[in-house]
Amino acid sequence: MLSFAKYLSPTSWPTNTSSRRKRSCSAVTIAVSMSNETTECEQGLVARANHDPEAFRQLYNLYLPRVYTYVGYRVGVQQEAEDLVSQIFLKVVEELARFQWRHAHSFAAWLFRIAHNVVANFHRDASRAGTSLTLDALPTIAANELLPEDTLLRKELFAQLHLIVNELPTRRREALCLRYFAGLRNQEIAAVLGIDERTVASILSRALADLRVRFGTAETNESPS
Amino acid sequence: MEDQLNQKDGAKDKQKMQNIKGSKDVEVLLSATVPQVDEYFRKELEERLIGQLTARQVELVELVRQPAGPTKIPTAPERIRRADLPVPILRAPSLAAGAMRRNISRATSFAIGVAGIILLGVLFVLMSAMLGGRHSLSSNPPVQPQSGPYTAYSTDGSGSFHISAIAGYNLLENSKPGKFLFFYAMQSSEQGTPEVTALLQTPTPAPRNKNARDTVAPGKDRTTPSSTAPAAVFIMPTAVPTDTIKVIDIQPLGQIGEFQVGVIYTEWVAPPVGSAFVLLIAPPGGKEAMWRLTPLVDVSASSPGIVTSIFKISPPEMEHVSVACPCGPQAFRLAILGRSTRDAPPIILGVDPYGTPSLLTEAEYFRILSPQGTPFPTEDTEHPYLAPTYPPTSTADPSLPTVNPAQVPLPEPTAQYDQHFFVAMGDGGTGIPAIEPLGTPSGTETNTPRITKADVEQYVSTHAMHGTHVTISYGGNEPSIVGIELVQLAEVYRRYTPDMFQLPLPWPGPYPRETQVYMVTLHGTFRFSGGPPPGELGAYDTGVWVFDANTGYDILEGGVGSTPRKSDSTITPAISPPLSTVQPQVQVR
Repeated sequence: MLSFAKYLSPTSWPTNTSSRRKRSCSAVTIAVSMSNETTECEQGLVARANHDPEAFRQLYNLYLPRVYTYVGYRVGVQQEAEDLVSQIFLKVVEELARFQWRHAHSFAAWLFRIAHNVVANFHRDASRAGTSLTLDALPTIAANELLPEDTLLRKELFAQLHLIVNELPTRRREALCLRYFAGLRNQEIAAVLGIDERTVASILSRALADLRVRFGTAETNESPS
Repeated sequence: MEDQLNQKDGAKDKQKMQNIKGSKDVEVLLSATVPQVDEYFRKELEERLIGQLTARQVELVELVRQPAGPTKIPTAPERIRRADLPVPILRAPSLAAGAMRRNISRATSFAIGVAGIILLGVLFVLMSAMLGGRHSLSSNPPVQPQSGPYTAYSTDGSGSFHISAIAGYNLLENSKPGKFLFFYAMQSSEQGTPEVTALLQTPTPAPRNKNARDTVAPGKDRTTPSSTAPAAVFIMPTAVPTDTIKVIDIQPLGQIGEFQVGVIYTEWVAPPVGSAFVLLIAPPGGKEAMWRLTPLVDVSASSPGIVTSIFKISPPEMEHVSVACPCGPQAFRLAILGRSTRDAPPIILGVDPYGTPSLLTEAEYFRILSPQGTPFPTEDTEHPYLAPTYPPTSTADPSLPTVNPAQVPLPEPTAQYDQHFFVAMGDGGTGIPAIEPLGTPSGTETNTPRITKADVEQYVSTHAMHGTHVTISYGGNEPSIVGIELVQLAEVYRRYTPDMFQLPLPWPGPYPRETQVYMVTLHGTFRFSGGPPPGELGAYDTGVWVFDANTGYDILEGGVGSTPRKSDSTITPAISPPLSTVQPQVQVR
């Protein structure tokens, strides 16, 4: 399983933070490997962001890729993902003064709680139910520019996974997205979803197993055709 | 060559994609299909957010200034001249340094005050107590003070000021990581920003016996009280560098007279349970400087729809210290200010809901916050350990008689004591029962004495001052009664704390100024602990004890005079003459 990670193209990461690329190419690894020093640096940024635009800019660039990935996977359509991401960060600007650190990674938990609520409100709107995905509407997927078909393949894969992920039960889907797309730790996911940390681990385990089964079923269904 | 490399890369990527496509590992697949942020969208949103943030800040500043009309709030680089600041409100009601200022020439003072290093130690554990009832944190369990002797302040041989052990508080288990701001006013020949280093001290209980003494960790201070010390005494070890508190920013605010004023932004990562922090502040230039500490006093409340704090820095010679805790827009409180002993007007800072401070002029101050009707600091804005209730403050008791302030003209301030420290007794300064009135039934004339001088003498002879939130102990021999006078409460203040009459503020306490009180003057050694430093020994040679003549309540306890410089054993015990022969007199410096 891990052996595949080293074959993945570095461009599979949508971030422009070179440090992430250096650490690993694996989303799983990268997403949860926010070091302590990053957190400390982040605390300084959060503290100053309210009155220092430059600090806010850094914070924005630090979190935008993660928020966008999370929202992108949850809504599947680029235009809507961008609208929601805008809403999320505007709320962050409004509420930042009220934010208080509660633990080392509480800012991420706070931010993704906002994201979670915004996305939930979006899905609650009945008029958006049943929206079908077209390749053009999909968000751009990071891929190696040398291979045009790479982009197409990844988009198809994204569309397939997006549908499967969104078929998961709500709690599993949320935990999975927060873990693998938002890059949150179990502790942070627990804070976002308001559940126990151990429950998060359990839900994630089941979500992955469920996803494997559903993906395997989808692959099997595709093969004869 | 380049084509070959491209083909090679392309072949590799093709292989990778086949691996991905063929993979059943959903984790790998998920990581390979991550949406990418459109660069145009990223930039556009970034600019929009920064614009929003900036506009919001401007809007907040405008809201703060709204009542002030078009007057401009001075910004950081703007120089504010002393002439711009109001004399009535800004005049430092100096007591302590009055003589010093007269004796030390400006040039000498300036020379002494040029640059230097000072240690400011701060304990960050008073959040709930300081914030109680005013905002959301009030739901936290109240902080309970521990019993036992504590010294809030200490100075070392070089004169560095050190707030060492406000550890009288059982530190907040529920304290959240947060921020603290420290205001500084610095007199230095060099322009620039001070360098600040955060250090940590964790107090350890004093060992009870020899074995316990051996368990003191290496590096801890073994010179402080040892096996015979009470268990409640804490040893403050050497401050060491820490990551628990970080100095995240130092923001110069501007210039007031010869003082460079600014704010130090700090934050702690973990709850500072049981710890004290020391900020090592090195003014630019690195030379020696003389600093004094004085509090910022919250004299404001909220304006409609927005909470704004305005701080007026109190007289620089009061030597009080307060802690700031901007734990959100509604929780900004007190702050530390260090400044020279030079005569200079206090500073008024406006702090917007985001905690961004800016200097205010007199006009802005009065427009934003009319001093008429503005309550002077109450106990929830002045922590008794840090800024004691002085003079009696806090919420007025509606059961007490109200008087028209115009009925009694304010007396002119007279006495100038180089030290004084008064504690208002009871919660809110309403006093505590002491002498039981006899004779006249209560409820008729509230301002008629119902206790006698003999009652007071009897009580004072058999009881000791005990303070509220501070500990008052008698050093050396028992104090002697110098005099007992029946006066108005205003007379007490006129004699001992005339500075309050210099403030254009309403009478602060629940007791009207014409309240008939028995003022007892004592001679001896009166040690105060747990409060701000009354002197290097925390002691006074004159005690003042005030009782409500009608109810017999103990309403005020304090000490005035100079700080004894000799040890207790060397202080000549005062001889108490027969009371009848004593003429009321007070040592006036």
